Amino acid sequence: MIIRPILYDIKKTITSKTVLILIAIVLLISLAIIPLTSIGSTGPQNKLFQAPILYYHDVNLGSYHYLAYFSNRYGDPISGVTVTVILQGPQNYTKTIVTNSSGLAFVGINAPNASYYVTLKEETPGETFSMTLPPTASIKTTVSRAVLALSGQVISTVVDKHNASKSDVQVFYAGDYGVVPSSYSLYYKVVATPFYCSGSCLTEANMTKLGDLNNYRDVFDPSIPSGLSDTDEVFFALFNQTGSAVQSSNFGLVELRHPRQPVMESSIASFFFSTILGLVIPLMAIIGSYSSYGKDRLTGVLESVLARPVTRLGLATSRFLSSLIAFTIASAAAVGVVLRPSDNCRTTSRSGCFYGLDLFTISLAQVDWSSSGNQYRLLYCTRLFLGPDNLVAHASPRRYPRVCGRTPINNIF
Amino acid sequence: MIEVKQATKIFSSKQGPAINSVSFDVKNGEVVGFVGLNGAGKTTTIRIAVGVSLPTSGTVLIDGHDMTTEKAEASKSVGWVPEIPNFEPNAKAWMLMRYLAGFYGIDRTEATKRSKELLASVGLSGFENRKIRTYSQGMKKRFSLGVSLLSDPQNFLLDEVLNGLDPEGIHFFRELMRGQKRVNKAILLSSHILTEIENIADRIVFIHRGHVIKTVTREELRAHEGIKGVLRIILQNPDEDAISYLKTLGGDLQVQRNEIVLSDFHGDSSQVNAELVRKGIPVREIKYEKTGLEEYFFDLIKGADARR
Repeated sequence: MIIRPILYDIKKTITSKTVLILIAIVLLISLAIIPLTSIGSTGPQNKLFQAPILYYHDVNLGSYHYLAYFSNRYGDPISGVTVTVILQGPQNYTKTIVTNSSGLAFVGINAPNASYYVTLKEETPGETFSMTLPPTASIKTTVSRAVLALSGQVISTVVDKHNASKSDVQVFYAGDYGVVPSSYSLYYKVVATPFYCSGSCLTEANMTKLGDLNNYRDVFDPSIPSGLSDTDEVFFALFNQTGSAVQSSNFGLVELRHPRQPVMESSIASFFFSTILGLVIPLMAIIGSYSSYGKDRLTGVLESVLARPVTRLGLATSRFLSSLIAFTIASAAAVGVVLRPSDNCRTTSRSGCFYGLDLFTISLAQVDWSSSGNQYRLLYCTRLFLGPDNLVAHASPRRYPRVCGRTPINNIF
Repeated sequence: MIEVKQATKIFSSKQGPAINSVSFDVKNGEVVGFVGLNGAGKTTTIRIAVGVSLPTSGTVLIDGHDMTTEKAEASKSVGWVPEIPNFEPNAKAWMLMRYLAGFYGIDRTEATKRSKELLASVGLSGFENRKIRTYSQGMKKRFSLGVSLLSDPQNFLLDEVLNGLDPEGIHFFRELMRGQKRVNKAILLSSHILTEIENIADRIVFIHRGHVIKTVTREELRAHEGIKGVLRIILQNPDEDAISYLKTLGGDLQVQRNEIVLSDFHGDSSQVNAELVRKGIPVREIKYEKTGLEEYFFDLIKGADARR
């Protein structure tokens, strides 16, 4: 019987000016600390971090092929990077390709066999990298189908998304003639320094397998055991189907464990909860409770409700519950701003913000059973417009056309 | 039926009780006037009766349900119009009414329909979407009356409802009370002006300084020696026919030009008017008033004070 009054009280609480202002403050503060909460806080997320360029020469077709992969420091692909390859020899050849959504660029140049200087240019907004390789280092005139790494590291370290105090290992490689690699496996071995390798010291037999490489690039978690010395090193080797190591790299254990600035999601969350929510939410609860109960009692408005068939305890409980639910929704909105639900949803730094706004706007729309809901429809559709990439991740895809179409929002929520 | 039994309310131990062992009842189909000076304890009694204030001792039964121990059940049968209605100022009238209807278990569709109907019936049609804070005092009283009618309760407690109302509003409330009385509802109507409710109340309970000092029926009040009805009639042309008819009504008749004053009249002024018209005597004005009511009231108060 008393459910509808509770819904009304929730709406009244959450739409009171004071509470709305406090929620806005929480959201703004949360938005302000998004850069801190992002694991990418130690550097711009889209800054080029790895750019291995693989090369093979298809003598039969008379073409030179370059494969480039661009990622940020977390191994996430970066699309839209302009890659230009210039061959300078008897004749000059230039070709420009932009990396696709997988961060890959395939550049093929038809040119006769000759000695060329190769200039590789990588451009992103605000950043340009260029290098020129002499003929002896860059172009093999012999028949070759296996890929070579011209620049960057085939096996490199990237920051773990979940725990920035450790590193993962990223591998970018291709099979013969640039096809998707198959039957390649990554192995590792922890050794004490100084380490002297003679003969076949790095073989599949005396290393530990990390996993198979089934795409051009993949990220592996080495899960280095504890109890090792900081001076130890870890060797990584990529073996082909015949058991030959085609690429290898070694990293210091310190680098794998403590890269750059260690920032933990949990520490950010702790900071957020203790400092932001710890201060604002209780303040919001006090003011909101006052506006939903104390103020009504002082001004006598509560008596107009108490005269209805409800006990004092029932009325106090309903007001308490409505305040609790209202602030839970508001807190969820604020938490959603800072803590992203999953890494898969984090396509841009705005995702968390929109997730929070999702909760907030949906909650407003849900309690707004009486008015037309146009204001929330506008807010909701604006948010979808600003962050359509989050639509799939956070909102039901069915809602978009219905909410933003002619269907009244009241019928949707 | 409303039964107030030995209700006592003490707000502060340093002061005396606001009401002390107040007892009276309002039967179904009866309008009971609750008369007292300002601060006599009328509002305190009514607030206890509607459950927004708890008695220090004593009980109030609404249709047999104790307002203190069975509040939810008792409140279902009570409609309350306070002297100064105090509703959520930022709520729209019809939404607030629908919200309050939720407490009566009225479903959403029905509540919406009934809210708009009630607002129209109390003369607030066209003002449904306005916020309460924009309402005048009279409109708030009408709104409050509409809210009190939400559950079509058996009992009404109207606290100084005629205060601050314009003549149209007073007429509206009087007609509404008569209508509710006809359908056997129990109505308690408080006022500090005896003449205001004398002609509508079946019984009058006098309260002074927290004590019920007297309860009289309308007939007993009218039969009181010091209370006389005075009928003033202004005729266009007072002729013999008119004078001889008016003499048959009894009382002391005085004629001054075209104004006739009939003292000690206890009949129905509307019937007199109708009879004069039937006889073809044009009536320019007819007015009935009671004299001695306030004196009676003050005598009661003096007597109560003297007994203390």
